[in-house]
Amino acid sequence: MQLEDHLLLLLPILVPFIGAILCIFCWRKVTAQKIIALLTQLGLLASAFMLYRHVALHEIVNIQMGGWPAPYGITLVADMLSCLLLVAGSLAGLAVIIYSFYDLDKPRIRYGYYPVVMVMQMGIGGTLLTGDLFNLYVWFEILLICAFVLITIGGTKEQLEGALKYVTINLIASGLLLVGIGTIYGMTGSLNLAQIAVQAQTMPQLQGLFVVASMFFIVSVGIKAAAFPLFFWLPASYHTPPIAVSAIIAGLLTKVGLYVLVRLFTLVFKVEPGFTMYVLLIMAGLTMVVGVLGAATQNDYRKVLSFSIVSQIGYMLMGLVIFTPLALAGTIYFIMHNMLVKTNLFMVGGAVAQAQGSFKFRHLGGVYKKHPLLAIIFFVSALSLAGIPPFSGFWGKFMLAKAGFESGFYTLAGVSLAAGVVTIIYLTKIWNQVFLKERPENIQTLLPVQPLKNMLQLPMLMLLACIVALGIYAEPFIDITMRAAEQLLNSEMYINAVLNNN
Amino acid sequence: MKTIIISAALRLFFPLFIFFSFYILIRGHNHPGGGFIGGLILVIPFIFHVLIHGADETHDKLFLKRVYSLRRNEQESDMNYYLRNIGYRLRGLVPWYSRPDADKVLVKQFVIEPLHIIPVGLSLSLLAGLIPLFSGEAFLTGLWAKAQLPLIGKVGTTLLFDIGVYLLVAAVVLKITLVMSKE
Repeated sequence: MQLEDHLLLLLPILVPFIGAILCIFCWRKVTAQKIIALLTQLGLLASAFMLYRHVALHEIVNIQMGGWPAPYGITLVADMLSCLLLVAGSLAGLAVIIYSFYDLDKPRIRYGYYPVVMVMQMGIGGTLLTGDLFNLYVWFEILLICAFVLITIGGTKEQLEGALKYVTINLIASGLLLVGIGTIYGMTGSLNLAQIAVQAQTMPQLQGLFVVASMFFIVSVGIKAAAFPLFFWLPASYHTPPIAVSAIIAGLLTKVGLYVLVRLFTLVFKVEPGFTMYVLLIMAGLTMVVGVLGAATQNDYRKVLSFSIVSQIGYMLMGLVIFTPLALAGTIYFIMHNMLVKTNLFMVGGAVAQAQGSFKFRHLGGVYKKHPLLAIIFFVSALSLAGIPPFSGFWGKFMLAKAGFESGFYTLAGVSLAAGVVTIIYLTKIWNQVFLKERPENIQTLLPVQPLKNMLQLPMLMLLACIVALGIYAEPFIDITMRAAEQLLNSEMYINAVLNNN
Repeated sequence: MKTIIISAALRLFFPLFIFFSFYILIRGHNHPGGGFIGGLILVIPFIFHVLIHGADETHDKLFLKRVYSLRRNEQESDMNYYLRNIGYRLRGLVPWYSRPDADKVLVKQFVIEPLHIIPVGLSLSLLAGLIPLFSGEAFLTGLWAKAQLPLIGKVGTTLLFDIGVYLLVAAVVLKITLVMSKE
């Protein structure tokens, strides 16, 4: 047992856990909780980065809980994919935590916003690092519970309605996930992902059953990742809670679902030309189309962004369908880019709402004149989301479209480019309605209007710097994601690392 | 629901449930039982207490500890005053020997808040996981002491983990009970 591996793999889970414990010790002490949350997030970011450095040197790193060897014990595995998402996720988390210092009301903090966010970060770390199917399910449940608490904190009627939809559909998804896990366990007698992958290769007679099991995973994880046709809960629930909550849920949770799909379909199931591929293909295409069309018809900042999340999920699925190294690298790049950009756009919306008291387009206007910095942050993030070079979204879409055309997925690549055009349309709509248009007079807004706190722009600038860096220094990042994709496609590496390491 | 029979019976059952929950907690390593179910059993008498007396009285009687001290006489030396206070508190521990004292002053009031037991339980479990790391073993490895304790048997980090779960479950259920019964 190597202590270094052990500590590095455990820290991304333990740091937020300790932060949560300390936050509960300081229940009702708002300032203390803020300090603890900030330190925890910084610690999490540092530990994620250290883990990334370690994995970049040693390829795939794994440890066994309690010293029980691999197929029997609980395994934690880190490869490039999980490390990259961990770093991006903790960056977005740090930004939201800083944002919440200046925008979240006291009652919500007093009812435990910070401990729950910390536990959620722990859940994300656990999901990304676990090498065990059942533990994956448990971490998902932790995420679900945290998201439910975060959405309902505050307890307005709207919020409860959104939370009810969220929980109902996600409970069904969890049930289906459990059925899928049960099927896999019944067939292979194992829950360890590496062991299942070995069994899947050595038992060709069970391929049909593996496809059946994979459908359970596609449906359940598809619900959690908000892919077509089961995305409708997301626009219905994400726009109800305050921005400090929806930014963290929107930025991170759906992407975690997508990570699970990528992990399972590279390691355990195969995306071969056949039933599975067509299901994923149709899901990817329709998710993009329905998402952008939904976003283009909405008249509320948060609702536009909620639908936009759905459309972006389609791009990420697209890489999984094409299944070449370039396409998977594109997916990974796109997930990272999206975590940062989406969180940032949500936070801009929150800042606008703080200054003007609403999210509805007919109440908003003239932000460009009054808060030019905010407008610039939005402008760059929006260009990045729309995929205008040289910003980060361009490289992600470029990699995906190029891989699509190379492998003969002309329709899918065409749909993705068309969806990109509509993305520009709805972002232009936000720009016109919220930033350029004169602000209408004599309006009644639901939320209180207060002067914009300047510090609110700090986390946005931080994320903006990351987004711009991701776009301008694209080459090293693309190399890293290519390496991650190679690791994913050589599932032997993962299996050997987990099963032959004692 | 204040009935004299149940409240009298509860007085008998209170220690019984608590000891039974300890028993379940400790036998949990090799037999059915353990921290989770033990914690649930520990809460049963508290829930009954809430049902019979109401949440406020449960809180006052079971979770609130008031410390009194005697009023200071004029020109009394420090030594004498402290000794008198210690004697007074010792008598307070033994109910049949204590006598009602009119001139006492409330010094301090301790509240046992279930919410504060939750992180204690969590940290005990976390500690049980971390201890093996210091001796170079994997996280969450069970380390066992050589010697056996009477009644309890083998002691190890797994027992510590279970105690953490026990406290956590008991505190969470208690908190839920107290909050729900107030509404």
